[in-house]
Amino acid sequence: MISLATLFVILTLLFILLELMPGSPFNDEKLSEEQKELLYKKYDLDKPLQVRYVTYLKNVIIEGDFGQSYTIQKNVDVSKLLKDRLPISVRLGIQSLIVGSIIGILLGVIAAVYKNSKWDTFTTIFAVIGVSVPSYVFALGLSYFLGYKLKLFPFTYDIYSPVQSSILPTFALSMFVIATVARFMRTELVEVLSSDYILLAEAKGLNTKKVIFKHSIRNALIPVITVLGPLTVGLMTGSLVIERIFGIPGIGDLLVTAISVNDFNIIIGIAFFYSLFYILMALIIDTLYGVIDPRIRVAKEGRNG
Amino acid sequence: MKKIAALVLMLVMASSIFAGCSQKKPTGKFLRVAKDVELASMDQHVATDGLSFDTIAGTTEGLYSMDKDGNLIEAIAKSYSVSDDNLVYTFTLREDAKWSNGDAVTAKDFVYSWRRLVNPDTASEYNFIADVAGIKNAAKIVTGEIAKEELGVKAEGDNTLVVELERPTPYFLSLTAFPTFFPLNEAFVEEQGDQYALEPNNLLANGPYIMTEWKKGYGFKLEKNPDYYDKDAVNIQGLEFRVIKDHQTAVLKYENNELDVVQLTAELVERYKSDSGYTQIPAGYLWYLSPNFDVELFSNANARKALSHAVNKEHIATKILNDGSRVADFIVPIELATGPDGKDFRQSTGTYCEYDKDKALDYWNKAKAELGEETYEVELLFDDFEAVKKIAEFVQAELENNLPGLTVNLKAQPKKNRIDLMRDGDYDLGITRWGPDYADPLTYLELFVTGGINNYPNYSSSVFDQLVNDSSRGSLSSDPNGRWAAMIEAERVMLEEDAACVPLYQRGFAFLINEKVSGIETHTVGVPFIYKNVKISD
Amino acid sequence: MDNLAKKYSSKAFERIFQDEKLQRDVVYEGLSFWKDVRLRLYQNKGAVIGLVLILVIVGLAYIGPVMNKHTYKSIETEHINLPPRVPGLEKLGVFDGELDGVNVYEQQGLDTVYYWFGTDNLGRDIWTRVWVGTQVSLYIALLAVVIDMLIGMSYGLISGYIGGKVDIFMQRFIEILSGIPNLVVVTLFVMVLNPGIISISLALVITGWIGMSRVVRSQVLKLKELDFILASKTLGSSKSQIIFRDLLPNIFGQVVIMSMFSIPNAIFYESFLAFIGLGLQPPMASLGVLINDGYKSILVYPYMIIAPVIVLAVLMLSFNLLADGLRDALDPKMKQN
Repeated sequence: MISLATLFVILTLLFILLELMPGSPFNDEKLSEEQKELLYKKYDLDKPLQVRYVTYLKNVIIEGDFGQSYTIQKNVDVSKLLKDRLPISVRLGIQSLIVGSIIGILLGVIAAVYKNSKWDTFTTIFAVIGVSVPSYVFALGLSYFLGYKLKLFPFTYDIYSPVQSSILPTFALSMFVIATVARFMRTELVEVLSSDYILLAEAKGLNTKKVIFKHSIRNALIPVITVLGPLTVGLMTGSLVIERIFGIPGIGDLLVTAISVNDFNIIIGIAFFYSLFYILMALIIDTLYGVIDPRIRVAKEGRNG
Repeated sequence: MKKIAALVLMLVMASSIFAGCSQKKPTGKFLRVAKDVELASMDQHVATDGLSFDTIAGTTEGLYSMDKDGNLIEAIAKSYSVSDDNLVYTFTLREDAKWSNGDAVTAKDFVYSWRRLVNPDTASEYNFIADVAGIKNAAKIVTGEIAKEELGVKAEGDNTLVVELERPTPYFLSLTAFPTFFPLNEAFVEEQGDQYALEPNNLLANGPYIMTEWKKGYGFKLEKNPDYYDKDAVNIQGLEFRVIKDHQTAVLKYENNELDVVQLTAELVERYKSDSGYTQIPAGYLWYLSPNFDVELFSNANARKALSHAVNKEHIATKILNDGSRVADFIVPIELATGPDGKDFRQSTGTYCEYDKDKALDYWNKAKAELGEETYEVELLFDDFEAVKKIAEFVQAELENNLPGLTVNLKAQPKKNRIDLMRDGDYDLGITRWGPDYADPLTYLELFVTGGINNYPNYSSSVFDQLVNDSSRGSLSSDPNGRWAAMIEAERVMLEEDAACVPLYQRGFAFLINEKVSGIETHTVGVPFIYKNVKISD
Repeated sequence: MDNLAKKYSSKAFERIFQDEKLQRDVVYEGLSFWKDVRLRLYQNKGAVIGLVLILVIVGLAYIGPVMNKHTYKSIETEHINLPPRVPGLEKLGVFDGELDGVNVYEQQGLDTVYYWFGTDNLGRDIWTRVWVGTQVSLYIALLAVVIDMLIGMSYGLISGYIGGKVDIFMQRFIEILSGIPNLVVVTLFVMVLNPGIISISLALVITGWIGMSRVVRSQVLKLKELDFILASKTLGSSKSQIIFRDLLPNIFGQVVIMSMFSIPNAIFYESFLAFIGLGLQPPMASLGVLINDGYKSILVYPYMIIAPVIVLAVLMLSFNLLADGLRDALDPKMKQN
């Protein structure tokens, strides 16, 4: 219920903000005022803001109709555009999330277990490079070496072989995930491993493997999950540069283009799904906190509060 | 944990290998083209951009078309005759042209299309072009004063089209090669309603190719049209367009022989300029510096003249852009319009604001004496489109070096806002451009008429206004030679006497085109690319 | 009693005089908290290396631009696209002005000209621009950390610790903030504000802290149910004491790491802002802007992007090493090690 209200507030705010954007959704360089008037009339943009807002909400709620694109794909329904593009972005996001967290967790665990060894240093350097080399440089590097030089993978997205051609973009996208997960995992795991209950578990005679996998990782997951949440939303809603470099028809590039040409309905449509994902993710994460560590109570009047 | 991880990884790997085997690339001669923008629309009355016009012109033909040198050639029209007062054109249409649904292309299709163009309900962004073409009543229909049936175009039988003009328009014929004036099959378009042209099966073709696939945001495919009247002239099986917004990726794909045509950015030119596929294609876009006349400094003619001689344009064209862009010491581009004498407009005129440091300094000192100040500070407004940032940085350095006492601050803005600011006169100096709408110098000269919406400098000269009006709608419109002379004079007044703006360069584009490919025809005005005569050798 | 006294003969005792061997507690020299931190920091090899590297980069950022006659915006039209060339080193086969096997300097007859990091395609010295850019990026890094600490950390602490309705409200606020595309807000900013450092700072303030606040909140949620907080509360600590004295030191590890992620994010965000016109106005540069511009010619002139990327990576690495050391030094639990 609260989440629905949040979504509503976001849409409302966005509607008002877009009203303030400079220029029109059309070719401002060439159009005369009279032509603009005609176009505004055609798309009902000449109506007052509140009227358009009510109509828009009605269309979205009753018919799932997000209006039409004004500029990028003229007169095509936004819902149709998103239906084609959103799944591509979401799939790519989930792929890189899975690859990224698995590698990230492994690296983090190794670094924490062999603290201050060369594995640890390697992970740190890897993570630092992962965040300080911009993703487009990394993506083009992958394209250039693995795609172009070695010809191991197709280096642009291909609708007809979506899995194979998404290997490079998946890795390019997961770079940041790996770095993030590895760093948080290591820090938290180091702390967990030095805590008393691990000492107890070791004293009981459990072998190291069991200690790490049964008792430690679960407890170190909280910060990892916290940062993964928003990251997942970011991944699923597409990345501008990755989409441009690999020629992926996703929604990241679409959103940025839409904002620069004032294609209002596309902006609102994508923002709607973005917010929806974000809110869902926040809910999931708060629930997961409780699952991972039953002592955590979210959004209840805490005893200590 | 580890086991699950391994399993997932294996699944991903396995499925990728299978996916790789299952699909094969289509074989045959397809021209593979990379584009950095999406195909915006296939509806000729909705489209406004080059790629849309290219594609529409690939699937549809109008009365006339253009050959590789920009001369008109017959398409649907077999011949035309014109009345002595140059006001009535009668076109005879060929009988064998067919739509892809089997219907014949008739004169009625043109009437329907042109009425649709000016219909206020269509709200076409290009509806002004009907009035530019001089078609009778076009302007009044667009504003809703009279019904669209009053438009000066009628069909006499299936194969005769009669067009009435309001005034003699020398470039009317060349406009018939522009997609906006292409025919539409009324029954089909009406049947499709608001779905018309949104998908390949909501479209009809009467031209060399037919659209068979359109994956929005990804690419589209045109295949040879078996019903095209001139199908024997079409040599390839079709065209595949792919949207790739990063030029470096596109270039790598080209090197891998996965693409035949890619565009190069200025940065990439250096690497490929000795490549056998390197091709420069001139474009009509002209970029210029626009001083705001309402700013005290630029209200001074000498200050503007100083400005117009102070920038080394040669360096911009050959060193910074390096892609076939040309120095522009003029506002009407090269190869835009041919005069009554058969010569390009530029061959009959002088050049006006060539780079000359000393001249610039002279004017600058005069301006400073007249204005009475030693130092000035101006803001240079631009948007970062097509590498303009580098040009802005260079212009800043040139102006500061060559005009002592002038400080230039750069102000980057999103494009929409930049245009708003310039229209409102809320700027000092701006970098902007104009692309031609039709093959006549007026498409540029009319920009600078007093009160014009795109008259960014807010330039106002009664002499200039008079000359331009005479040659567009006034006394000279039926006197081709006098009109030509008036436009030559107008450009001179504007640039030499008043320095109303500072032209910088005429855009060119650099492409890599596979050596095996020939016959891609390019134009600076109208349809940018015509693919009908493309050949791919083995 | 008497019996007990008899058991011990007086010989078993020795009299001690006041100034003799009176057993005293060894009182070590009193160490202040910060001195202690500093000592432990110096023992950490990585942290020291990080600190030294940061000092070197900061030094170069200010000395570098004046080491040659070029300024960040001076354009030499005859010297465009020159690869790096350093006197002395060129004999070793690196920094010798060669690109694809051709000595570009000799080819253009510039035998006596040296550009240490090469020049860009307007003919500007990349060395100078990199160090001027580093100044800007250092400022932005600092700003990002300050915003993280001031806004993000407090937001997370309050939201997580107080909980209940306040938490719900504060989290929904974050959702709204994240739901509206940044670029829309920033574009509107550009219209109202003049581009420059202030607008960059404001743009960062809008959303730069959200990640940090979420991490802090999750940590607080975890810690606040633990016994030591209960103990502290029982002892009568006030809310602010619990938040700042008990919770804060324990979440510092995550805070440090989160900052590490916000720094490059902020640096790249700035270059993105510059791209749409809100960032620094050209010809000013930052590392992010240089990397963005260099990317455009990465296939042709890779050296243009390498210099700023390396400076950024080294800067990041040293920040990290230092931050890791700092965390260990500050963490009370690490004291014994």
